[in-house]
Amino acid sequence: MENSRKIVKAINILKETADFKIIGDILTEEDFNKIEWVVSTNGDQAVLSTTCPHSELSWSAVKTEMDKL
Amino acid sequence: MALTRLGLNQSINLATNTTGDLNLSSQVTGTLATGNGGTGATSFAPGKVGQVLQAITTSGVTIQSTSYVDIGLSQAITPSATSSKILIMATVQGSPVIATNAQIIARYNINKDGSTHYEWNRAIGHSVGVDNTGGAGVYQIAPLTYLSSPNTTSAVTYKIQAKLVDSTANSRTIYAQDDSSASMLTLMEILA
Repeated sequence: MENSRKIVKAINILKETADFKIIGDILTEEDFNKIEWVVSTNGDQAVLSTTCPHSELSWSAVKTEMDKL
Repeated sequence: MALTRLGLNQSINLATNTTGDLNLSSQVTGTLATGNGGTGATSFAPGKVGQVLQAITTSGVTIQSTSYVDIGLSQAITPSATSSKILIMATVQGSPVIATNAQIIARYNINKDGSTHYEWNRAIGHSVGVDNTGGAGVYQIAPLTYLSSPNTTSAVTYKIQAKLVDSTANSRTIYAQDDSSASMLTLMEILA
């Protein structure tokens, strides 16, 4: 499974309700820290932050799930 | 040289009744009536396209959100007059993917200077589940066209955005520019 599909599945296993935007492939912790998480909305626009609001979604936890896939 | 005065409803056939050159810019005045195949116009307006700009991206963007996020396709334009219109033409590639046998629908939006400008409620999607554990995708291209009236001579930025219509449950995901497939945005200023 290609990387972009794999990380979505890994995130959803750990936190099904997480909303996010990913640019490019996530191969390292540095890449993971660039994921933009939806933290709130302004009308119909997403308000994004690179600070993950979900404690379950650390790089190590996501990487562990990705390696199982 | 013999001169003939034309009467009402008489005409000269330039192809057979004249010799020499006729200077259209100095020797011809008046208007060719529409009834005689003319336009009725006394002047000619120049072309109406002021400028054309284009942005192209092949950078993949993964979106799992029910509120609008940028797909990485943006273009600014500065109209030359407040009366100008901007013809927006976009070709947006995206793969809607869902993990279970259910429906996924993605909505696209043209964002103008940070606000929703025009949206397509059912841009792409499908109602047969595609298990993304297999890495499968439903590759789709949406052509988006809209005529905008910005009413300004200041720079205006148009962006393409996407979001999921239903929830993000079942791993509903939009893969914009999937597998580095191109999306493009063209802006054309149409003068009044």
